[in-house]
Order: sequence, then structure tokens, then C-alpha cells
Amino acid sequence: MNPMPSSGPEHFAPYPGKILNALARTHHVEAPLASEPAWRRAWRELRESLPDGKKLDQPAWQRRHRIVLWILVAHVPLLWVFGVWGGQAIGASFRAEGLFHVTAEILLLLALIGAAAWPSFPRRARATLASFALVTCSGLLTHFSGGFVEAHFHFFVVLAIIAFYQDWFPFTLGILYVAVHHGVVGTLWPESVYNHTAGVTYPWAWALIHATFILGIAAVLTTLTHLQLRAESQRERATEAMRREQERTRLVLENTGSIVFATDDKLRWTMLQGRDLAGVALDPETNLGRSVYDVVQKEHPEIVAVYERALAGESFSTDLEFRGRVLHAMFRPQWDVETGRPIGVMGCATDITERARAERAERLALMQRSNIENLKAAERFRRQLFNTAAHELNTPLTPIQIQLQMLRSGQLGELNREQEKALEMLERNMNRLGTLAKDILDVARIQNARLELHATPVDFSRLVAECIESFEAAAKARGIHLAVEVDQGIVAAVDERRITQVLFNLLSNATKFTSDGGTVAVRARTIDSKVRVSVEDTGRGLRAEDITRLFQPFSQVSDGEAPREGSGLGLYITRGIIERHGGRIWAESAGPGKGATFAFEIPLDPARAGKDGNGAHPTDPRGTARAPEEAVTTDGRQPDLLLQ
Amino acid sequence: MVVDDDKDIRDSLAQLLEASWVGVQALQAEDGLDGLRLLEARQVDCVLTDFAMPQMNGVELLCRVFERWPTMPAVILTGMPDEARRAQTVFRPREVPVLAKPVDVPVLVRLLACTLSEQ
Repeated sequence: MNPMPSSGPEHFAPYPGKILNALARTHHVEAPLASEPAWRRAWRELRESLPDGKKLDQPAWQRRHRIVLWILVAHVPLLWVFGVWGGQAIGASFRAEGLFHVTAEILLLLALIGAAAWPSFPRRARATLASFALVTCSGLLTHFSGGFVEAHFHFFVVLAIIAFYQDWFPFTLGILYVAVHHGVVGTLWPESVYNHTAGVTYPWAWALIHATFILGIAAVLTTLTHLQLRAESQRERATEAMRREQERTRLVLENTGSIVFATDDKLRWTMLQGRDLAGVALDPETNLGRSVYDVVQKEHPEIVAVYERALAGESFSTDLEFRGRVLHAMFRPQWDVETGRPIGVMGCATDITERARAERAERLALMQRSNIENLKAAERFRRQLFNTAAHELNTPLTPIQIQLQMLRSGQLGELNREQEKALEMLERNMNRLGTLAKDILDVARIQNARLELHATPVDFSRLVAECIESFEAAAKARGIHLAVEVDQGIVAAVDERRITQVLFNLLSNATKFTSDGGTVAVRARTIDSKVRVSVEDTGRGLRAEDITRLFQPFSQVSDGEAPREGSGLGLYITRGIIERHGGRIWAESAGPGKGATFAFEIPLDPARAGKDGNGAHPTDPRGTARAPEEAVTTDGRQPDLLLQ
Repeated sequence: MVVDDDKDIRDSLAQLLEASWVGVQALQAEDGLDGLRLLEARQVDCVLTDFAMPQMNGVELLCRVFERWPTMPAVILTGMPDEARRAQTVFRPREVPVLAKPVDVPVLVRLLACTLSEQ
């Protein structure tokens, strides 16, 4: 961050240039400073661009410095031998120094090496001393060899200094030291430098040319090396910046969760990153380089199709299910800029499993709720309709019945034969309607679990006898034999009216479906504290598929021979009554034409009667506690007792 | 007195009663309140009432009737026998007979005959 509000010249005006420069550097101000002259800036930039040795860490620098020192030490005996004898050995033109002279110069060299090796000196000072020693070394060699190796030997030395220390400071001082040395020595003792031109006229001019030449060569070398190093350094800096950027991206990707992926044109992953990869068990280490076909095809062929779609050039977002997780994924094709061919797919994916799950659960719950509501409403409506129908049928039937009765009894005058016939038909159909209305009411009671039982101890032999009595006349007329086999002393706590209704229903069915001359047998006995009553006939019999649906409402069995009679509710109501008593009812038949047996069982135990049924107790205890106003609404509508 | 919100039922019952007993006059009321007004105004021997009616239902009517005339004979004739039977338990220990519509005419006539003769 730049804490300075502006970098304008007026802002820096009161400060001296040096401080300003330091400030500018510490605060990363990029704008040129007003107080800095152009030449100084150029120099600063040059210096900053020069290698300053800081790139080398301490161990690397130590290693290099040690190598330089060993090279120097290795040259010491060589130079000494070369200095004492070498010159004489090579030729007359090569001058050998005296033993004393050579030793003194070697000692000077040793002093420089020793100083360069001194560990408590600063790094730059040691490098500078080493560079002095290096150029001294090459100078002495040149001197002892009569100038033979001078030119190229110096180049190597200069290069070595730059390469080894990567620091402009020891290098520059080394060059200056050589130049000054040559200027001074060449001027004062020209014959010791230019021995081939003994007695030169202008030794200072030669010395100057010599020094300039050395400086020039050094400058060219320096510039070249510097340019090279700078290019390298810039490359390194760029690489470093890129590496850092990549590292940052990697860190971000790894920690934000989302998956980032890329493939080549064969759909092999070239990148796989992101924390969510763990959720789908896709380890980047093992899967990088593997193809989507190898890894995904078998489990999720549809995902491979999605990759192929992207590779074909389409950009899109989609939700995928992969290894039990739901991913929201974005796919982008990658193109070769020159050929325009697809070269891969890139994209990112986010794990949205939790969100998707929550949404799905919410949708499901909503749907279920609405379904349940609909069902409840339909059921409410159905019950209301049934209940209302049952009650409302009775109202218009009442005056019809009364009027018919009055006609029948002659209270409204005598009837002629035609009128009596008409009255009979009216009565017959009135009775059918009345029965239907009662049946519907009973069905409504059963379905609402409001069938009330008024249980009293009932002697079954009497009950059966009374029922049979009602059918005797009709049976006799059709030649049907009514057989009764009832054990004596069967007494059960049941609702007599309801059980009579059941028996009536069964007997009426049995006689209806038994052809003239057949037999209907009623049996009653106790089995395991239950009373079992069966009504067996020799009638039409039942098909197996009919038996299963006999006790359903509106399920009349018809084989096309007999006309359909009744509402089709009788057996349903019968079952309801028996079940309300805690019993069960069933039918058996050997097949069509072989007669049928209807039987039911009811527990004898009065305590159990009615409790195994489908709901309320025989008498609703709430009824006694209720005020009449609560029981029935005062506006005459049906009280909505069903919706509890 | 016949109390029922259905005019045809009222008329038929009145006709039946008048035809079954010589000299009987059947009074008609549309609902409980109407019936109460009529009871105040006229001499009534027996109340034959529907259960579910607007304004005042049969059981409410009988509650008021029994407050004033505790021994008044009464029969409930209703299309909702279950509800009426439960509701009539408020008259305990007295039992008010409940007949279901459509009514079995001879049973009704016998029941009325018994009730009136008891009185």
C-alpha cells in the first residue's frame, strides 16, 4: 500500500534527494523523483540492475569464495618457481627477477590471499581482496613471462570474478586496481613494463594507452556480462513471479473448495485441483494424466458425454451426479489459436450436494404435504357426501311412506284393483329405496367408525330360530329345505339387532341364490370361546376371484343368469358389523354350481366384544357429557362430527 | 304437535295422526322456537319432533318443554338417529323414544298410542 496521498513534486520538495530516494524505495513510489537529477537516476538504475551478490546465499558464496582461494593458493608455488627460474629457462628476452624480488612479490600475494580468507571481514571486502589477489596473480604471471600471457589471462580473471561473485563491487575495484597499477608502474618504471622497448620516449603515453586499453576491454566484457546477467535475472524474476502466482492460485484453489479441471484433446486431465475432489474420491496425484474415459466411463457414461460435448465446442453449465455427490459444473472448450482445432476442455465444479439434498427434501416434503392435504380433502368430501346422502334420502322418503301407508290402510278411501296394483309397485320400490337409504347410512357409520353397538347377552338358538322363521314361508313356497343345527346354550354379548341384520342378510342371499328344491343350512356352535355361525347353501356357488371381493362395497356377484338385486352393500355392512364385534367373516365355495358357505365368528367374551373392531367404543362416552347444542348444530345442517 | 322443518313430513304426519285418532287435532311447527310459541298458546298432549332443525333443534326444544311440562309425552323422529340417541341422554333418567326416518308407520302409531295411554 502506498501511504502517501500523492507523489507530486511539491510533496517531496522539502526533503533532500537521498532521503527522498530512500523514502521512495521503501514506499514503492514508482514516479520519478523531482529532486533526482537524470544522471543520478541513470546511475541508480544501472547500479540496481547490476548484480550485487545478494542473490547468492551464504553457503553458495562461501563455496565459490573457497574455490577462488584454493586457485590462488595453488598459484603461489607455481609463480615462485616461474619467477625465480622460468624467465631464464624460456629465453633471453624474458627477464628473471632476483630471488629476493620474487619472494617479496609472492609474500604480497600471500598477504592478499590471507586477508581474503579472513572470516571476520565482511563478504564484499573479502571478495574485493580476492579479486585483487586474482589480478595480482595474473599480473605477476604476465610480468614473469615477459608479457606473454597478459591479454587473455586478464580476461579470464575478470570473467572469473564476475561469474564467481556476481557482484559489481569487487569486480570494478579489481579493474581499477589493475588500471591504476599499470598507469603508475608504466610511468615510473617503463622498462619494467615495456621491456621490449627499452628507453621509450613517452613512457607515460604508453602507460595511459595501456591502462585505457585494459579499461576498455574490461568495460566491454563488463557490459556483455552485465547484459547477460540482467537478462538471466529478469527471466528468473519473471519465473519467480510466475511461480509465486501459481502458488497463490494453487493455494486459493485448494482452499476455496471448488474443483478446477482441464484436459487435453484426448480428455486426459492436465489439471485437477480443489478441496471438493476429496468428496468424489478423485485424487489429483493418481489421476492427473489419466483420461476421463478410463476413470469415469464405467461409472458415469453420461459425464463422459458432457466432456465430449464441451470438447465439441460448446460452453455450458450443468448439474452432474458423480460418485454420490451433486456437482454444479461449468465447461469451456479450449481452442488452438492458430488452427482453431479443439485442444481440450477446461472448467470448474462446485459440490452442491447438501444444497441439492435440502432442496430435494423440501420439494418432496412440499409434494407429500400437498398430496396428503389433497387426499384428506378428498376423503373429507367423500365422507360428507356419503353422510349427507344417507341422511337426506331419508327425509323425502318419510312422507312418501306415510302417504303409502295411509293409502294402504284405506284411511284415504277405498282403492280399485288397478290402484292397488299401482300401490303395490310403489310400496315395493319404496321399500327398496328405504333399504338402500339404511344401507348407505350403515356404510357411512362403518366408514366413520361410528357403528354403535348395544351389546346384551343374546341366546343364539333363539336368535337363529327367529330369523329362520321369517324365511320359512318363502322357502316353503320354493321347495327349499331350511336346516338348523344350533348348539344349545350359546350366549354371547352382542348387539342383537345388528347380528339379526347379519343373519338376515346371509339367509336372504342364501335363499336368493339357491334354486327351488335346494337346501339352506344354518349352524351355530362355540369354538375356542368364540361363537361360529355358518349359512350353507346348495346354490350357484362362487368363483375364487369373486370370493376375494365379495365383502367390498358395491361388489355384486353376477354370472348373468340372475338379475342384479339390492345395493351391493349388504355383505360390506355385514363384515363391518362382525368386525365391530371383534370377529371375522368369510366365504367358502367349491366352485360355480357347488353351493357356498358364509360363516362368521364372534368372541363370546363380552369384555372383548367391540374392542378389536375398527374404532370407537359401542357407546361414545362423550355423548353423555355433551350438551344437546353441541351435538347438533342449531341451523339444521349436518354436524361435522366426522372431521375430528 | 308435530315439529319438523320439512312441510311434506309435517303435513303427512298431521294427516296420519288425525286419521288414526278421531278428534285429534295435529298442530304444526317449523322448528323448536315455533313449537315453543305454539305450546304457550295451545293445549298440547304430545310432542312429535324432528331432531335437526334450524334455530332450535328437537332436543333443545324438549329440554325447554320438560322444564315447563315435565311429564309431556314426546317422540323424536329423525334422519340422524345416532346423533339424536346420543343427545337424548340429557333427559336421563327419562327415556325419549327415537325413531329413524323413513319411519315404519305402524310402529309409530303403536308407540304414540302407548305414550298417550301412559299419560
